[in-house]
Amino acid sequence: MRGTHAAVTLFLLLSLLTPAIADDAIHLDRIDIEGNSVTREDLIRSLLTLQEGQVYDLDRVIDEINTSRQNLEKTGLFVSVFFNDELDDENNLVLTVQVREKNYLHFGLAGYLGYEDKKFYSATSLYLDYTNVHGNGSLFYLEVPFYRDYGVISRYIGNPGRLQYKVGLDVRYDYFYDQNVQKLIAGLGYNFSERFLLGADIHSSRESPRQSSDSTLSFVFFPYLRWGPYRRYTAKQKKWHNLFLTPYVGINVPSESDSDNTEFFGIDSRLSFNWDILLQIVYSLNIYASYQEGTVPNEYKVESNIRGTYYDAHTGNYRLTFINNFDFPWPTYNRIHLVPFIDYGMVGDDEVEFLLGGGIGLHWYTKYQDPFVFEVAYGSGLMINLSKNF
Amino acid sequence: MKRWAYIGFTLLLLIAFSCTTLYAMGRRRRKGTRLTFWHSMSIYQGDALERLVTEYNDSQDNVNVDLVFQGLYGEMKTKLIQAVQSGNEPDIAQVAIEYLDIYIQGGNIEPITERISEEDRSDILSQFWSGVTRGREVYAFPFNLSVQVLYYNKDAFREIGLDPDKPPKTWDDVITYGIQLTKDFDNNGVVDQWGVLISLEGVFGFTPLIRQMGGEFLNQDRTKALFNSEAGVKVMELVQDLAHTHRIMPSNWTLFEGASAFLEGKIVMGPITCAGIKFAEENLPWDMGIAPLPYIENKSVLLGGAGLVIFSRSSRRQKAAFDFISWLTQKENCIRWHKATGYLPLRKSAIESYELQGFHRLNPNYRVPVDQLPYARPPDFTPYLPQIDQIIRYAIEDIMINKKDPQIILDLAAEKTNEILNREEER
Repeated sequence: MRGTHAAVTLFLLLSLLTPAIADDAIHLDRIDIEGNSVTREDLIRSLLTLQEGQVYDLDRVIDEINTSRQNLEKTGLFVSVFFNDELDDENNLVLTVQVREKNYLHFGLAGYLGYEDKKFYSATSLYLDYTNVHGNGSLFYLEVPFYRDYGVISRYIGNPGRLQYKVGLDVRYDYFYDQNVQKLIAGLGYNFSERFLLGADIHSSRESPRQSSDSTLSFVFFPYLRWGPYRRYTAKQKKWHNLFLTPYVGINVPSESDSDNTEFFGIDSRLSFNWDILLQIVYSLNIYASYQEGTVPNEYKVESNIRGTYYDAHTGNYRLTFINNFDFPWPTYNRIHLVPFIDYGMVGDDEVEFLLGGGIGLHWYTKYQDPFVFEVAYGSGLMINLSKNF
Repeated sequence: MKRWAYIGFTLLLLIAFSCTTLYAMGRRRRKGTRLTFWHSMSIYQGDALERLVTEYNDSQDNVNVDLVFQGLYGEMKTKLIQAVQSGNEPDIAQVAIEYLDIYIQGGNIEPITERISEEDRSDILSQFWSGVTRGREVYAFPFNLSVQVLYYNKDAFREIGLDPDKPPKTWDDVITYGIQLTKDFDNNGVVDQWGVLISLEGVFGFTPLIRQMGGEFLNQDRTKALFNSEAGVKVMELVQDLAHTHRIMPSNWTLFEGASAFLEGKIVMGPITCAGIKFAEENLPWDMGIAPLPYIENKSVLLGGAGLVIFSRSSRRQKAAFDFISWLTQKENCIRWHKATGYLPLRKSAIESYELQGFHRLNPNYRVPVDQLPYARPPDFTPYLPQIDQIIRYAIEDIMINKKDPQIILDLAAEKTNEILNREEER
């Protein structure tokens, strides 16, 4: 008798609960991808956390859609991501992921033109960068310097998921140091999280003065780490900071057999603070600190990065600089930003130079450039600066 | 050699600028029917609208929509009246729902009732249709519609030990919280932080509070003012008390002063349109919370905003205009518009979509105005609402600043309102 009561109770409980469970169950029949003319479908699918053929409850579907959207947005490949839900004839869910891809091909002019100590100086190049090569989020970058240097600089950064790899080749003539430079780069990095990247690059470069048959081969090992978000993902984020740190160690092998090998080492760091103060006015402070020791090849010499000063003319083993930008979006047209800046710091070795520069920049967020940067700076001299940001 | 390099640099610089500009201009040159669309969306709302219109123009070759900003609703009204008088009206205009009657009465626009599909009729919420329907005819397509919500400064709540996730629910709660939140930090006799600010912008600030008190603004035939009822007087006594008895609200601030003070964190709570959520979230330097509009006896919020009105006379242009409006208000664009501004999503299909449910889970502030929709109602429409609004503004000023007796002032205002309504009725 007791058993019958228990069975009836169990049956009643089950009949009460079963419809509730059934009502909430969503069978995801299919996921369609739309709008990807460049990006490979399998790359998009690999970033989705929902599986075709699985049964979910409503809460879970919404959570997984949010996670999948964030995964897709963080690739930086899309302007927007939209999940459209529909039910088929059998009441199964069909999700359509509609993506709008960014412009992937950027090209333009970059460099600077300056006047200091009654001399003109310049470094200019044409560049081309193509994001999402092969539709897998990789980046190809090509630069053709044609004033301070002449030649070709190329990089390929593969970005399959968390693992990043890099290869590069530079072949150029360095006009300032009057030498030919050939460089090979290989690197590997791993994104442990959105906030933490660890990796290492190896450079092999050859410097040979033009009027001499001698040359020096250098091998440099650059381990690096980045801590903090690489960029701001949403305007709701009011503060975002990051640190980039790369110590390095290298060896120089001269071509003459009677010369000894030499070594060098150093560390480069950048601490970046960004605050959205009010009405999308952003103040950024970047602190650069560098130190090096030993026989440093020209290629790796620490030089000034104060805008308004001739970078090549102010070098040394130490550098500490503070780069301050104030970003004001134009009130009626927010694709244009006015960016006054003030940079200061010191660079040198036995004698340290204090440098100060400031000016104003115009950042134009066109549909094709992100952004196009034009700056006029005054420090030790006058400088017009065109930058590429990508 | 150097000279040529500098000349080359300058030339390339010019070419880079010219190419970008020419390319951008080239993309604007289009064929097909050109429609002019006058709008009132400034700054970031304007940017969001421009993105949508550009996308529409890029998506097909038959119609090209030229977007023209014509000032906020008041300025737009003046320009539109001039334009229809001179025959230079745009094809489409964004008209505040309370100004729609001006153009209907003037015979400047035709109903679009027959163009509306059954699907749109049932998918777009009835509250939104009620804002653009007069009698049985629909004169505008609902577009950017909003309700007021309570914005509050969570940081200020935390500073005095209030739970930032428990905002006031009623106006009595607002008084209790406001007394604690109003501060004279430096003890110089001048209040540095006010608890609350209600911007009683004429009809639009007054109407929802009268309804919450159980009253109405005008009678159903729109021939008599009802705002001088007991409910109206009680509302005015409440706001007088906020300013003069409890001293938690400044009594004589303009809208501009209020907005600046809110931005600087000098006002802790205030009812503001939900159309500002996106802007506030991205621009305010303090942690902002959004709560339903506090209530008195009943829950009621006023539905405001604008619809899209077709002014074109030719049927070809009317059809093109309607096709564009249909595109602009389809489910996906409703969601995008809501996310980009804070304006309400028009469609049931949008509100129920997983896309929007997911967005609301991550951005709960945007969900608050949507939850208020069951008790949202548009204002009591009459073509004379602008004149009545002015009367109400003067009355509120007299009650708040000069501390006059609410009953006497509201009776006088009602008398003037009735004169306008009946004089116009006789015509």
